[in-house]
Amino acid sequence: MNKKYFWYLLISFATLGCFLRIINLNSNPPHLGNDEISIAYDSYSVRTTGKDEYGISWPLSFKSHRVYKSPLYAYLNMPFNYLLGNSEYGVRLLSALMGTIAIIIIGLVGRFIGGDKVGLFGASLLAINPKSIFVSRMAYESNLASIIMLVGIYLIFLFYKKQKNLFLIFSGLFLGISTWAYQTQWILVPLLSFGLPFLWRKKINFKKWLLMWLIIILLMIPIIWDLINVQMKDPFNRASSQIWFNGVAIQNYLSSTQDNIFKKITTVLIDPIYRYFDHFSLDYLFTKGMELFPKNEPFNFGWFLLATLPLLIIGLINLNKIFKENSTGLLLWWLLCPVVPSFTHGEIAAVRNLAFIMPTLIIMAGGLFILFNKSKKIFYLIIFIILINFGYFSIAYYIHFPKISGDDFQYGYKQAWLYIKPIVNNFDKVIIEPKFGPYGQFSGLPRLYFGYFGAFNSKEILLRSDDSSKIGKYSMRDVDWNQEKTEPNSLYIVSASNPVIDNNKYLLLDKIMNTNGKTQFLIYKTKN
Amino acid sequence: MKKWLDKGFLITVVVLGISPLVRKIFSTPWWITIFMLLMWWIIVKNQRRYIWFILTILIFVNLYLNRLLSINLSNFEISFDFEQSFVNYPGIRNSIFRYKEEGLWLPYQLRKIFYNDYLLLLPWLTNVSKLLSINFWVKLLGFSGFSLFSLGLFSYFKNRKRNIFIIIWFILIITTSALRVLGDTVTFAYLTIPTVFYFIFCGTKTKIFLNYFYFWLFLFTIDFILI
Repeated sequence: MNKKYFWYLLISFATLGCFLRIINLNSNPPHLGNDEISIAYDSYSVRTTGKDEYGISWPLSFKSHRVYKSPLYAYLNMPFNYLLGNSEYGVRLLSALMGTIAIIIIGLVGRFIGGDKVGLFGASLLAINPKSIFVSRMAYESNLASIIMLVGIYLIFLFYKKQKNLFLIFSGLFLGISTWAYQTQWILVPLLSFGLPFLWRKKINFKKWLLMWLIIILLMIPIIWDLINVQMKDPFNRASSQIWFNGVAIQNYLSSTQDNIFKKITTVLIDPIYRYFDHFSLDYLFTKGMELFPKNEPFNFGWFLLATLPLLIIGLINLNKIFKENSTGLLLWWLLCPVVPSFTHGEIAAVRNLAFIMPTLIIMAGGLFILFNKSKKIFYLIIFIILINFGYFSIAYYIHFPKISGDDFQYGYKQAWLYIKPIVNNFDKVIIEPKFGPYGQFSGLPRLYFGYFGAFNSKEILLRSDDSSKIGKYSMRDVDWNQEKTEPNSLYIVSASNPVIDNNKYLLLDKIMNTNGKTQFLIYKTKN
Repeated sequence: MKKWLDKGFLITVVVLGISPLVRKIFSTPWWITIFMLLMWWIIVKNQRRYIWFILTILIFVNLYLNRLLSINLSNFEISFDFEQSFVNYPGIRNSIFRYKEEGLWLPYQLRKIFYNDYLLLLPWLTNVSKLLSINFWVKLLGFSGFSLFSLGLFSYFKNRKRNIFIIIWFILIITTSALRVLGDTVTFAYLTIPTVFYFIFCGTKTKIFLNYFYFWLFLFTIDFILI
């Protein structure tokens, strides 16, 4: 294929992908989610004060809500925060742009290991991939990490073929940097950077890879230092509780079972293997893994469009034929991606396995390439079905999803702030309830939403009292109307599940509606 | 010793012996098992004249087993439980209706194209893909059984002289069982026992199995511990 056409087409796919990732970025998902607001706030806080929410200067991990988020996203986001302000675009645009860049990179990786057409097919499939669109429209560190890692793997493949040290140095740099972006990469990067050279050890001497390993290790040292000296010293660290044997199911089994010791040990050790296979479940990958809607709803989608399932099968069957000497490397990359998430508990955590999207799509692109060569009629038929399938995904995701997903994204805090903003100076106290949801069953992070959208600035949040729920005149706490001491000039933002009992004391100012049309928050003021 | 009563046959029996799928025989009406074996015998004998008739009967028996079809022999009444199947599950129909009503800026006539009963196909396909997933079969057959089953499946597809009706049998059971919204997963797969037996038996004849026999034995030990 003409080099010019290849680039024209690749840039066209990237433009399409960019449009799909940027359109209505401020309203779909309908609100910044729990993790997004943490990153957004920390990025803004470090940019303006040099400290995170907890007053730590330029941290190597953001404590957040004790999950110790990897730092790269918050740091890379600072220019976006500066240019676009404290808005949804100000934190999501980086992810959307990275998702777009990924389309170009997958095109290059595909071209390098399978030829021009495989590259273009891979790029087009990524441009319209449901999971990639979903995660690129949210501030996910894992999205950033998987894309930086993709560049590193591309450079590994380049070194395998051309054996130039420059590729080795840059692969080490990108792979090492990806460990600063998300925890999955702490293990996945060493697995891949040792696994691939081991696979190719007959062609390239093991020693030749030393430079890459050295760079990765050097880049990982600060992260490991932070893990040992900061994260592991926090007894309330929630990140370490994610390991599979800490899960409720395993703990319940161990505490209640009468099984003998061999069976107990085997059951615990075997659990990650079931989890590993879960990542290859057809229903998870192709029909329901996105979990956009409740179970058994017709509009659920998998990570990949259902119409691409035959492409994966054809691609796997013809792996050697399409990718030749690169086939084993590609297969190893594909098989290693779900290893790390398999060792965590709970439902399949999609965000931990985003790296899996790329090799899967390259294999699918290989399947499409085989169809293109064997039968143009079937090729065009499958393209037609994929487009219909994508049309349905678009309807489900861009139209219906924002309407039903308000609770998942703590919808209402920003809207509540925008409502009280013009009148807030008339009040001496503002009480915000962290509870939300139809029964007040969820607990949110109002201090971060109100801080990010402008109720108080990053310096004020650093000066908050030891009780982190009180910042200036704002108090973030549960409200029990029976116990509440009524004070004049007080404003209340409470969960819709907690309406005022005594209407003589409080006046309802307004209701903040959820995206599904139900009431999310009630706003009261005290009657003076 | 007869030709079929070889090491592979014994391994198949042992593997299936510890599988919950075969244990289900004791809680399934005996006539269904007899019927299944009879139908299998006709399929294996490749009696093409009766095969399509047999496969149709197989669908009915599977629907009956999954409590989707009820047959009253006294007054020859056959009824299909639409509400327990994806064909008419109220929750799904309601959500299609809700989506049709909400949002889309298309005129109502056009909405009928996008939001129609054919969307019922999607949750059914989810169920089919669940029944075709690795973990579903690992949990039914154990790691040792699943490894042989997949090896057998590969060798079946490699064999140019394969009996196509064996795989049709397997797919028919999966696709018809998947019609039920909620159900017992072992019952879903019960009528696949003959095909599973066949594929596992084929698996024991592959070179990979012979080369990695001790690894397979390790998997079998794990399955045995986990019973």
